[in-house]
Amino acid sequence: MSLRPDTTGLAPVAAVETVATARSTSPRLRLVRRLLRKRGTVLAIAFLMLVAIAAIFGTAVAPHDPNAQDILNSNDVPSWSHPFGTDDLGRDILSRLIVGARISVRISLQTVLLAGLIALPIGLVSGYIGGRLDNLLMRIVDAMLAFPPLVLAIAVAGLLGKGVGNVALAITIVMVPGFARLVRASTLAVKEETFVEASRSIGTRTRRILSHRILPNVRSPLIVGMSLAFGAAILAEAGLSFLGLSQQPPNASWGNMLRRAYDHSLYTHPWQLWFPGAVIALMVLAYNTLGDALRDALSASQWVPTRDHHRKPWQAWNVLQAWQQRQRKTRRGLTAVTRIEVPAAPDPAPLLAVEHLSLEFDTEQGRVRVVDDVSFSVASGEVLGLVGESGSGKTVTSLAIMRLLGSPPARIAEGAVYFEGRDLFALSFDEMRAIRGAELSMVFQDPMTSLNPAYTIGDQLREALRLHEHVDRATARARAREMLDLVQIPAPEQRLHEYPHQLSGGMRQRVMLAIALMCRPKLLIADEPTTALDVTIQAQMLDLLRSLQRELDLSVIFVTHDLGVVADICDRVAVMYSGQIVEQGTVGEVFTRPQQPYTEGLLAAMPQTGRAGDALYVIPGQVPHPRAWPGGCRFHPRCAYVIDACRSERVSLTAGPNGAAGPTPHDVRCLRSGELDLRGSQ
Amino acid sequence: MGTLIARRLLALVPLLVLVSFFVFILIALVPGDASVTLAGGENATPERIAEVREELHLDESIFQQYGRWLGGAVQGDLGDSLFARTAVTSDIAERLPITLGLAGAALFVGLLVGVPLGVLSAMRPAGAIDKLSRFGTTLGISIPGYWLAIILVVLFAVDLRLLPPSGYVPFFENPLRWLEHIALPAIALGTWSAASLSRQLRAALIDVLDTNYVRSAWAKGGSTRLIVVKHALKNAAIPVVTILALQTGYLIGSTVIVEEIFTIPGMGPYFLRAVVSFDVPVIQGVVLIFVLAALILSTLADITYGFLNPKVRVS
Repeated sequence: MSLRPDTTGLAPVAAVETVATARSTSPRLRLVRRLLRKRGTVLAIAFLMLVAIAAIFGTAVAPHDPNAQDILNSNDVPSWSHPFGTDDLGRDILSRLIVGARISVRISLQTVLLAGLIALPIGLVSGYIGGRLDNLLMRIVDAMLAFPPLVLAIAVAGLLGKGVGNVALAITIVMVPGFARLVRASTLAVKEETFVEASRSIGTRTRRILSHRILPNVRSPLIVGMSLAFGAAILAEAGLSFLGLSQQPPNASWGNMLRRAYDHSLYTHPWQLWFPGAVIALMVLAYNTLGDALRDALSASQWVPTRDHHRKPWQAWNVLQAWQQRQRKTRRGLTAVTRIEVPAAPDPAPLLAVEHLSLEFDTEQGRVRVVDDVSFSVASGEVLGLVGESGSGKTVTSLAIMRLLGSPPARIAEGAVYFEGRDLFALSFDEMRAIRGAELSMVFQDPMTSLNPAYTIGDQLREALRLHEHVDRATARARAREMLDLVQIPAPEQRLHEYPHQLSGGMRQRVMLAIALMCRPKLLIADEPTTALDVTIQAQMLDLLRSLQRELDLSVIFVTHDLGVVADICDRVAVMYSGQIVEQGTVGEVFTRPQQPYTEGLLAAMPQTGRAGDALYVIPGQVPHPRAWPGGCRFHPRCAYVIDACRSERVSLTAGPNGAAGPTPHDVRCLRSGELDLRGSQ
Repeated sequence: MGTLIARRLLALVPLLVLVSFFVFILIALVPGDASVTLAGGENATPERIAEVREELHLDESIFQQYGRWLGGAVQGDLGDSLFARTAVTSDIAERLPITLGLAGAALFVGLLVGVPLGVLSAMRPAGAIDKLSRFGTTLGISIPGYWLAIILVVLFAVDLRLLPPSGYVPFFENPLRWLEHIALPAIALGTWSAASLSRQLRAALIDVLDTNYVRSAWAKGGSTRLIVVKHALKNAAIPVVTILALQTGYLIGSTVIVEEIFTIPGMGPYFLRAVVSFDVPVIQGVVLIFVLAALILSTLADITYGFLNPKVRVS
């Protein structure tokens, strides 16, 4: 089985468990299966097996005696009896290639395995023990790595004296430091992992930690590194052979055959140069192909989603499918649209109207719907809160409005987004570009990684303006300063010349906001802009957003999972669950008279709602994966008020009891919306 | 920036000591009694053996020998060739520019082909260009440079007679003729550079194009060109520059065989002749120069790294 793509971004524990169970189902078999999926790898393995047969049986499978000279039949072109022809002494080229295979195979296996074996303890000890020993060992390794490998190999092989054994020794010496570095780096990486620290803290012996904790994790990178080194070893041996340092004539090696052909047949029979060279190249190609495939297969099976606790679906998909996506054609910068019908624009048109939006991801396991028939609107000057747990589809929805989801895997399957009456999904790349950042802006969740580390704050601010307005440098600079002032960054003049890494997270988010507002957009989409910040900074950021919203009469879509923030800043709220809107209305209505059990759960889970001393309420269960949305009401497995009908009937979004008739619209997706008496906040 | 450069140069000192020691103790690899082997093996006359022993101070301890050799090397004296009796330093001074010229030309080919190929591949992973270029670059890193050199000779020199099959004309004597002679070897060497550079750049660019700050640049309304050329390329160049320096160090080493094939009178043939005849002072001198070249390149890469990465520069 393969790793289940996990868009929910839930607790890392669950994810690790998935990996653990996946591992227990014969990891070796899965690895082999993954390796054999590509035709190139299969061909490479087949070729290597062929060469292995030649290497093992040598003269036994050669059609002729490889060293038998036959002057009468010298320089024969390929024929039935001599498939690859004969050389200038009449020796059968195919037979010589077969015998020469033994040298290449032997050298590549011997040097790489020996070098790996020597490097392993050096790297392990150096990485794990560290300190002075590490310093000394790595100095030596660095000094050896400074040598151009071929030059060192030639010098060592030459001084030791001609011969295959000495060449093998020379290549091994050249390879050791690289492997040692690799092992050390992988050791350092796992050394700090909690499971190693845990072992240490309960007093496990160092030797046992090294062999049972570190080694298994160092193994894969070393295997990959070694498999990629086989090709290099072949190339080096053939090169030294070509220079006359390895196998001595008349015995054949691929390198000295090439040399012989070059010296004696270059002008007269140049076709003789093709066979030995092609065999060397194919051998290296086969090794490299296998090494690459091994690396891909191993890295895919070892992907463990532990680090990113607050990864958003957009990113989760990204990480999960990064290596698959790389195989595919990705249209960046504009999400693909495959809708068939275009829903009509509402009349009168609000600033933004999302109409029946459905989004799908194309994955290895097929098509997955992640947003399902979502409609909402934002009026001019209004702040709409888009609320839900991670995995509910709120971030993907906002990225789709900007058309920033990469295609593939993302696809707009149905619906339309009308911005000031214009259908955004009908726009061309350049038309969309003109709107983005100018009339429609977005601030993202993670300020630490959302600014380009290579350019100054000032540059990134000015760029936002100059992409949309033709202004001279001085004006752009003045506006940039002005914007930093507006988002209350102290000493803006100085900040303009600073790089993102010199600013704190809160400052960076203010800069992101300044960039988004540079062209005075009509609508700002703020995707959890405060989630990654400290609590005190969060409050400042919210105050700033609120005051700017009023000052600039900005419309805002505020994406968040924090209902406290919604109560603080929003006029209306739309609650999303499993890709659908389950309730929407004014903040006052929804908060005091929620009609959907999920909303009630969210409200109850707010720390502000609970009484001091009470245990904080938690909605039982987890957000289902988009691939596993339950039938009927999608919330029913977690709902306390579930009845049989909830499990089977399709539930649509309807006007709530005090909905259409009431003073403000209030839509609910619940079969029992009229009959339940749900608790709101306060 | 100044302190960064100073720090890098200072860090070179201990490395240079170690590296030079390794270069020197290459002599310890010589099998049997070094003075006999170096004097010509079994046929060596006792006088010659004594001469070699005397000249290389083989009676002293290895550290004394190293000190003597290093002392000379620092002053630009790498000893004399055991056979030609010429000074190694002046021999190298004559040949090094030729080799550097070839390596420079090869690097030029590598950059000229590798950078655009890498960028175009990364912009549309698995697109037509990417598929073609990945096929080409996979071949490019697998084909031995010396074989490619020979094939180029067969095609362009023997069959088409467009370019000379071997030989060399100094640049300052006739730049055009120089180019004629250097073209095939530079392509033979540069193909590998181009292939590996384009693969590295592609991988780095694809990673960078997936970052949040690139998404921010799209959200601003940036064009594809702005995203790739401004936002992505500078960040992707950071890892690639380091690798490029390393590869160029290797490239200089790879000139050895290619010079031999094209009979270019650079470091390669000089080195190979010395290796076959156990001319230890020449071998030590040449290896030392090659290592120094590689070290200078990696130091330059570190400094460039500082220019590209403000985190290193400012702190």
